[in-house]
Amino acid sequence: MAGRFSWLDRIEGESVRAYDKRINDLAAFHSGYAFLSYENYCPEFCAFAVYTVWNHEFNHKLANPLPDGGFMMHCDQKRAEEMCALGHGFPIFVKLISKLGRLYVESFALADKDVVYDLYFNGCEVKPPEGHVFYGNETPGLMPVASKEAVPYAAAGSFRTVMGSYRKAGFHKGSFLKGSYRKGAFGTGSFRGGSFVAGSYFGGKYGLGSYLRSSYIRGSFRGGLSGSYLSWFFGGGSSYRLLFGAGSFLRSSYIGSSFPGRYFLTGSFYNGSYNRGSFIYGGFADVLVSSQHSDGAKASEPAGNVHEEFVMRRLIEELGYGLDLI
Amino acid sequence: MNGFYSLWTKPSGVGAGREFAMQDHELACLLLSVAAYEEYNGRTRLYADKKAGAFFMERGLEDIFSRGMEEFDVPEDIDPGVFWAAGKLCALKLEDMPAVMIDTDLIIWRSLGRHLRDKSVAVIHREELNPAIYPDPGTFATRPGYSYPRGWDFKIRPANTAMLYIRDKDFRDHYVEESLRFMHNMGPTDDKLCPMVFAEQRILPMCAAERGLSVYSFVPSMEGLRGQDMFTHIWGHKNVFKFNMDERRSFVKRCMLRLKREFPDMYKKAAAVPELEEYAACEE
Repeated sequence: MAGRFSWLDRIEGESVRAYDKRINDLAAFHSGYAFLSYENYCPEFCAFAVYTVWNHEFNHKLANPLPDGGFMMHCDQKRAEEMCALGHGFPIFVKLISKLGRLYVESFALADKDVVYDLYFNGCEVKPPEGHVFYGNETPGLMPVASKEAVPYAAAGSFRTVMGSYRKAGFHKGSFLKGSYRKGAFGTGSFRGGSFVAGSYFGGKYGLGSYLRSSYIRGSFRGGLSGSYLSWFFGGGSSYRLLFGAGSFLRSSYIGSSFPGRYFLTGSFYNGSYNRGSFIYGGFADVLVSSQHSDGAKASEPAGNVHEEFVMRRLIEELGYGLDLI
Repeated sequence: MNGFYSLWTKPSGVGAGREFAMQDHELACLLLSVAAYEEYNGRTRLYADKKAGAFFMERGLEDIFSRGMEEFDVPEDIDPGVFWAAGKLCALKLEDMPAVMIDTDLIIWRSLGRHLRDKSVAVIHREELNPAIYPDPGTFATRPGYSYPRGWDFKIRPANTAMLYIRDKDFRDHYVEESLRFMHNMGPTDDKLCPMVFAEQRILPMCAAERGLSVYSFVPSMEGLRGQDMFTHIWGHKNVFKFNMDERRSFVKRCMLRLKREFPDMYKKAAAVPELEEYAACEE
């Protein structure tokens, strides 16, 4: 497994410009798995908070190593139920770009047989799907993390086991976050709903989505995504091309034959019901951790003793403030 | 009113095969912050360690700070993993008072002068004493021999120091000394949050109270941060910029357009920086 992603390194003698070009011309490729559970689905907004497990060798080559949570995707309720019922991980494909020799992810996509869903990072909270045991070495290394072979077939008893790095791979690295605060935004609890603030609390009254849908967020970002970026982002057919890098995704040998057919891009999928502004800051914003089971029963009640001011603080911390002043 | 920024690269893991580099959104925000501060408040300086200084020099950005750049470092025995903001305290120690300490992801859009006229210490806002972030100080594994000053009142709310104004050198010395004393005396720990925010945010108001000084808050409550028009703090949202290229590009574009419109000299500098040059062609 070691060296699987060594082709992402700069070749000896390769200039930064040549490296950037080589990476930017790459097709999207398989880099990890997404795990879905209905606990992390919000029927109201047709949105999943997605739990991700990345291949470590790949992840540690990035300028910003990817977290295990914070991603969202949209799909309708029927499909959500079907995907949850399947119970296995779904491959995630990434399109990389390189800027000045540093690797970033341009776009993420989750592949489900013949359908590809966009994944977006918005920092939403996610709970580790129940019934899965994620274990492995916490030390970054060349673990066979979430390899194609390991995920679907490693079922053992009532637990599906995934060789992988656990928790600290993402946002717990001390060096990873800078600034005045860290834990509130990217501690384990923030994405997993675990230790920091009860996830159920945010899944309830103070769900991230409900906060983000407030006038604050709209006010904060008004006009932020108008203009050319939106144009290409929502530009119908062209949006596809740009999102996946000049059609390279389709030509990819990885999936060219495996995933023909329908491609639900989030933008076009919701084009009819959301205007541009509300999609970006509605669509991103509308992700929250659902506290509903599929039978409609509440998974848990909001913890009543969490101080509202603290909740407010945490949410403001995650969003920043005064961004509309720029 | 003089302002200053600081960049200490060690906490970002630089050195272990990684070269220090600010990313486009970080750089755009800092350039806008410096331009706005120099426009509305006063002259700025950057305290930078060797690697951060080299980064600015290589890009011809050393003169964007009208008081220049000054090399500084943090004592070796302070763990950069635990005390990742120690650079701010060490820079504060070097700066002449009165001055305003500004985080690199904070932009101040208005003059502070009127607000600070009769203040000794000022921050943007206070924090709630939530035990998850601000635990009982008795739980910190400090080294034998270290003790908290008797005069400290642990019930005082912490102060967020994304922006910090201090008028007097004496108080600055007291705060920095106590903060660094705590850092030096912290035993090994995996806690990457609580010791740091204690050293930075709790010691400040406790020291102030000890000296009979009050800490002024521009925004009295967290709720008030929503509607105010004086500060932009990217804060945790920069993490979205790291993984969401659409939001990131949009943000950088907005920063560049603002520079172009209101701070053309800074815009010229920004447009020539490799990290930002792709945005130079952006139009309204």
